[in-house]
Amino acid sequence: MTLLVNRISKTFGAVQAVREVSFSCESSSITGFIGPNGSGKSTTLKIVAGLVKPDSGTVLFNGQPYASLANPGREVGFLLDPTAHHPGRSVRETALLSAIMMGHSKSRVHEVLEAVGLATVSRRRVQTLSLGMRQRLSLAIALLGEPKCLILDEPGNGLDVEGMAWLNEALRLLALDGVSILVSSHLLSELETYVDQVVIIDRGMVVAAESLEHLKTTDRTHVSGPELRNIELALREAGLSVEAHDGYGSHYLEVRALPELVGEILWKKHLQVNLLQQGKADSLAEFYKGITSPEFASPNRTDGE
Amino acid sequence: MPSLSNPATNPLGVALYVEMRKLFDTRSARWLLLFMGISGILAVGLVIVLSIMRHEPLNLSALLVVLALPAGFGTPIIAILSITSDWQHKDVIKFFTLQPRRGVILGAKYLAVGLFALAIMLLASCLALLTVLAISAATGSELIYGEIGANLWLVFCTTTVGAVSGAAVGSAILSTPLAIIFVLFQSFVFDALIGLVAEKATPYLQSGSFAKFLTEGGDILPAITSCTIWIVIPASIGIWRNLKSDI
Repeated sequence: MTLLVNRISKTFGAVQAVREVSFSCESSSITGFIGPNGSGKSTTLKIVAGLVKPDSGTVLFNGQPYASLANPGREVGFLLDPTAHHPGRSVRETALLSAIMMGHSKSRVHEVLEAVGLATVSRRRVQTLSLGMRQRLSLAIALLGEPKCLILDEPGNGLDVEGMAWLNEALRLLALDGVSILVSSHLLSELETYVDQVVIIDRGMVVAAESLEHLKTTDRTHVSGPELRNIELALREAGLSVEAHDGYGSHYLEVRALPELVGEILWKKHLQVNLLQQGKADSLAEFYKGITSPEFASPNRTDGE
Repeated sequence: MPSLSNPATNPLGVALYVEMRKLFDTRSARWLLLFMGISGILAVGLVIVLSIMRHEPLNLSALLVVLALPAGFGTPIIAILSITSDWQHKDVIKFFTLQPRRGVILGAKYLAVGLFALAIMLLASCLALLTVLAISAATGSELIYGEIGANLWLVFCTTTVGAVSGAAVGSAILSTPLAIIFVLFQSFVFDALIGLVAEKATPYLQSGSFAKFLTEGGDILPAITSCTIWIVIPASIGIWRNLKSDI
């Protein structure tokens, strides 16, 4: 199932939470949806779920609006808030109500509760569960309808190491099975291990939407040569930002420009190079930090200095 | 033939079944039902003891009215719980994604509350009848029906109007504690005090005027005004909030 989010915008009072957000999720792929706190992730996901009405824009599942799907629970599984369960209801009854809404049987409820490790506590009331167990219950409900598309907001919240490993593996297998998955998370190192593409949102706008590999390829160039000092001067003269680093067995410069431009400048200056390579972010987190706006003050400014 | 349990072909039926289950599957609802049951049994016991002490035969319609008192008190609260608990505990996130046509869920809630009021009334009637028959058979006393038709209608009207009013207030306020406080204030404080403050306007403003008109007849204008203030306006606000609110 293809999820197409097309130029959605939403304003709450004076705050524009989401601005012209567009992206798509294809079948058999996992899309990471990341951004700082308050960047518009949850609002976007709630718009996708039809819980918040956008001021403009459309969300389509295989070309259809969500509300016009005949049995939406069987098409799209949502995990939006692990605390969104009545605390006085039993685990089994909570899942069963969702199953009935999807036209599923009790046996399917037992199946998914077993899969997420909640079968033994199915008679307990939700209020007695830890956050991690509530998260598992929410996952169970999202998976109940064997959906073709999964939308998960922070599914790793509260999960222990075993739970995280199970989740990562389950998402991989579901994607292999043809499910399109959109997963929001702050655990970038975890996310990096299983997503195919990443959508980064900052201050309500999509600032990057690329495959993970393409995203990590930056517009930085690593350059080195026998006359490193002259290379640095030439590049600075050309108005480029240059930083010296150690690596590749010697010193090198990291330049904020594509290799084509750097090469052209140095060729015109007749400077010899023995390294000219496009830089790559070491991790999704590194790229993410470079592209999103910092929200926190530096920790050493909080001690009164 | 379309299956009754298929939400694609029978969305209202499926939602109604879920809402009926939700009336009984939480701890708070069970406590309230238990309270209503125990109160009903105590009321029956009290009426039996009084009739024995006075050497009077049991009156079916009087017993029915006594039995309906806890139902009349509990039904609006059950209605409020039914409408508001999904919002109170953010369960709407789940149910509105499973059934994005919110009108179906709200309609199912109102229907469930109405059916519950009807079931409570039937249960109270059966219990009253069985008690009177049993006591009459045991003591050999005469069976007195009293004004059973009028009292059945009275119980039906007060229970149903109470349930619908509770559902309307609940859907407008969307908070369980606030809606319960509102209904208690309306029934026990406002209705009592308004007579002292604005005597002439009292029939128009009292929440009980609509049910009173249905059971006793009289001037229709106060009934329409009361129904508009306490049912139509809150229900309209509630429908609008349920259908349009961002979650």
